[in-house]
Amino acid sequence: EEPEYDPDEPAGMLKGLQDVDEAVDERMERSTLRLFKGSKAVEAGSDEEEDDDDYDDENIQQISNDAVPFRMRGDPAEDDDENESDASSSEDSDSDSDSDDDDNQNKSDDDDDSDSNDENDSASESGSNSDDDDSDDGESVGSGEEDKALQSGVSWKSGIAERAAQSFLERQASVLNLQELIYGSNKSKLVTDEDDDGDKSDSDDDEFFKLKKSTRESTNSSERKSNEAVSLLGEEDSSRLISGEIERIDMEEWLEEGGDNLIESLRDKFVTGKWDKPAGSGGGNDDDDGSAFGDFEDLETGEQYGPNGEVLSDNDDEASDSDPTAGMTDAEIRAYNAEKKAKQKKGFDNEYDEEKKTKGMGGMKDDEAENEYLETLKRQKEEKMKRNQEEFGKEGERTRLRHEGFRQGLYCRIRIDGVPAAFLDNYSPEQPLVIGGLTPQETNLGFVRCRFKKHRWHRKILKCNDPLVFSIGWRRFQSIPTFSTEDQNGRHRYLKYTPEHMHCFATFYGPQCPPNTGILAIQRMTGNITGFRIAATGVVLELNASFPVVKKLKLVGTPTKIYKNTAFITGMFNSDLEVSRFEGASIRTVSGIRGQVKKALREGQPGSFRATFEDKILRSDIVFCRTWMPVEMKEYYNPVTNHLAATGTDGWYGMKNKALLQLETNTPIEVNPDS
Amino acid sequence: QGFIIPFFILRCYPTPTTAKCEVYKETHHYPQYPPHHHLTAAAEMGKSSATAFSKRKNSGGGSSSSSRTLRFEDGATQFRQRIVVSLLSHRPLLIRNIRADDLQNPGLKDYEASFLRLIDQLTNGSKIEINSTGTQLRFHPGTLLGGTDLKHACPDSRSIGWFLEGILPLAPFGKESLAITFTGITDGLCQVDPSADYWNRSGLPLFSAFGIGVENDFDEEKPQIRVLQRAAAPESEGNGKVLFTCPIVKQLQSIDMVDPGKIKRIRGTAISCKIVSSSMAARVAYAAKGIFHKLLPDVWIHTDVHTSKRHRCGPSPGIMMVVSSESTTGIILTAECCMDHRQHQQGVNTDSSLIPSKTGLEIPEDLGKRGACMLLEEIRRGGCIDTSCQSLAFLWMALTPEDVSRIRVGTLSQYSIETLRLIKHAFDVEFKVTPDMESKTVLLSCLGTGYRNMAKAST
Repeated sequence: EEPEYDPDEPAGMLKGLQDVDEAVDERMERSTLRLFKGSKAVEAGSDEEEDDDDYDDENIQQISNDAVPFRMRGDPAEDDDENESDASSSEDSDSDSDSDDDDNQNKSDDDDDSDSNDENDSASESGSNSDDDDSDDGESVGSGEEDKALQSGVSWKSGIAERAAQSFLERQASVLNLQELIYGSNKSKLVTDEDDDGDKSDSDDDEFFKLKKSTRESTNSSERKSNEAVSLLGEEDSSRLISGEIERIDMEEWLEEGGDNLIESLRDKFVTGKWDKPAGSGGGNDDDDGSAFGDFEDLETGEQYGPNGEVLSDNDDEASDSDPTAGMTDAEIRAYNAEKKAKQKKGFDNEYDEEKKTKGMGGMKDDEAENEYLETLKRQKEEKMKRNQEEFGKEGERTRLRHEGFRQGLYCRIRIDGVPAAFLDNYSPEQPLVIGGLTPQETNLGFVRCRFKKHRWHRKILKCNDPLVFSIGWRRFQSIPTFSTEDQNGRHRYLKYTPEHMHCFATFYGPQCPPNTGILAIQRMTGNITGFRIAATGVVLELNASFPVVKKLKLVGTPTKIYKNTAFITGMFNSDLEVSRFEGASIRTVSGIRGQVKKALREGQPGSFRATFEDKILRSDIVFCRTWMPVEMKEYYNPVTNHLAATGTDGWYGMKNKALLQLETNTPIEVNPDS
Repeated sequence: QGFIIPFFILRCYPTPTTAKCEVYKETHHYPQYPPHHHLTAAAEMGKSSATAFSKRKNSGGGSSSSSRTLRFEDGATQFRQRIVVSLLSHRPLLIRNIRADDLQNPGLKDYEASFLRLIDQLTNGSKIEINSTGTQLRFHPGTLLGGTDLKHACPDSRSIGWFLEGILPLAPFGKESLAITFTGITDGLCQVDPSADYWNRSGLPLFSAFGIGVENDFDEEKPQIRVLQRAAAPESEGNGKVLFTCPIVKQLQSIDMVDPGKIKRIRGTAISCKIVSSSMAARVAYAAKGIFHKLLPDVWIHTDVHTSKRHRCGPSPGIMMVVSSESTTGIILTAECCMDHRQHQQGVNTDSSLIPSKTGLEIPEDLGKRGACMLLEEIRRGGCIDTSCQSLAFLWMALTPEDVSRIRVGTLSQYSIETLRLIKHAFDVEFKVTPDMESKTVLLSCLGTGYRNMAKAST
């Protein structure tokens, strides 16, 4: 059931949200229809939708796994869970892959063509083989679309050839797309989403089909490619063996003598070669193939001006002037000017910063200093944004998203699946939701060691192994801390209670959060709490899978036989094995005579041993051995799920501590008479 | 009062279904498409499913966060990198079908098992489950510890370089700085794996490029790879020793390596091991110098002769050469070559034709020339990093702060391409790959994840 929104209750913003929410549903509905890669065509709102649910999910995941532009790198792959949880989904994926395979077979020739071209030299691949490709393309597009036509029966067949040509040109535009060779195309994602996003009429459909066509081709080719690659790499896991072959170089080619051999072509990569371009140009002077020699000669004639930078820039200008496209020159000039300006600005900024810094030394006011700091941060951020823009912004928005994720200031719509119904039932609009992200490690559970101090306004000291509710970063959860203190030798000694006015260490089981995160702890979420509620504060120090905390253990034994300085002790250990573990350990009698464990005795009570002391011990002496025992930590983690209860935190039940339980149930406090 | 409701409360709540988040983004206009095309992108944020209310079983750790599991069905391909990436991304790993088709020797090899032991030594809380045939590996990553005075004995089937290559990416992310001594084969397998000498020359500059150990003042705190004793393939008898030390960092630095510069010097070492004649190494060096001198006068190739008497090198004879070039911009390219010991065994019958001279054994002069040509080949490719270092650089680039890192490589090797895919899979970092037509190189850039070393304790 839909959660009931009272239109009067929420303000305008919430109303807006409400609208958006509906749109998501609608769109999702549509997406299940059109995300299909397979051959089935499903009508909107048809009954099949239910059956194909898994299939769709699979599809969505596939798509989103292709490229997850949102920088929640946290947990991108979810399909695994899916696979494990639903048995049915695997079947679906099978069918999916089958259909893909079919496509592969259809297109294999075409793909091979284009791939090999890409891999080879793309510079030459400008227009010479375009005819060939073109025709191929046309065929493939046609055949693929025929399939669709059979199912959907849309009248779009006119102008296939034009569209094919157009799609070819598009493909041509992205000449050598190494990106796609490596990652596969993620156009599929965008296109399918576009399609599920936009409310399109039939006229739009044909465009949709065309794009999707090209998408499928490239996706398939990339999939196939990756499969090939895996088989190439082999299970040897060697970075130098490719498919079990050792990479060899053609030595003949290198050792060949003569004027234009390979070695000579490298000459300009050495300091002894020509410095015809500034080193900053980034290896632009390594056109070493025969075909490139024409350019090379040109440069040589240009070199007569002299081999330094100035002349070189002249050369460049000449080159740009001689460029037939005048627009390019303009753009270049503009770029040059912009660069100059940026350089000047940067210089000024640096100077300015320096100035401020020196001024700051001489007693700047706090708020002034803070402003300065903020300003610097802001500028740094701007610089970073600019760098990103420069690096990823050139090829348009979608590529940028692919590399950069969703940057600040973009609007995005977030869909959260699997929200418990109780959350919606008990949703209160008075409490806005804030959505944040976590790094992958922060979703892992483990032990957290923190520096911990009882709050000085809190009345009582805290007991070890009593549950506490921690608030760290985004989270609130209940866990059981173990208190300890660090001895001189780095040993962590167990503490029964927190010190009154001192820091101690607390170790608890919970989600790992980065060191230096602040911690706040309270004892109970509900009920009347007399006095100050905040029990303790602290800071995260370290994360690990386990922390050693030890407590004292005194082993006690009695002498059975006493020689001069030697005595036989029993009752301290239970077996010879235990004794052998403690050979050489120092022991002590009550009267303070020190000694050492020597060796287990064969006869007598198991675990009895021979020990030597610095003096003769008395029969009545009790012998101690002081040891350290590791303390077992409780792995208890209970998130505070107050939003799932109607009454908020009152509806959440945490673990109660022993004292509270005794109070509630009127149980008398246990007393150990032997203590 | 407004209450902040953390989003992941949803995550922590045990639900039978998988929660999935998709992010839709709408942009208004962008040039190449008509405005009515709303660009939407589905993103999956995933969630760790069902973290139970109370105790989480320690032993079943893998199942509790299986939604984030990195699954691979194609066996031991990229074995080390997958484990490393699993550790760095804190996602469990499942590898299946490890040599499942091999009826004689299915499952993990001895060196892979050894690598797992090494990882176990370096981490705390890692769970490694291997099924009875060894064809399936389930790895649940723990916390990286590091530590000094560690030792690892490598089996003779793989050189120390293979193990080193595996843990290099992990080294700066431990709780403590790392100092580990490997024993095993140091020389003679460089046609298969980069050797320790290679990493010393080519890997360490990469460490400083990423800001590892640059702030430390003392030499002992700098990353170093030192070959203490040598042992050539096929048998080491525990003689080869390599010390690898690496300090930890809180965060890497982003890099910008796009300018290969001009090569100003070439340095190298010709190493012979357990060969009686000391002139062998000199002959290798001489031949290599002969080629380099055509291009550059500043060439130094040292000889390093190890005998079993004085240096306690291993029982097998071997000869190898490492040469590296340094450019004006500090770019170091390295190549190495070695005598293939398998030819000693096969004699004249070298069917595999691993060496150009078909007469059987390669003479030292040919070895020197081959090494020189290999370096020239690296130079010709025109990258700022040599082929075997690519994958390490890529992995670290993905872990830099959220800033652009750029690198120029000559030719993307198949291994690096697989690395790029793995990075995409595990960290969701997609590199921008732009071929540079003019110089026939490839420019790669990415935005780092802002990875922070959370294992490092704060003081």
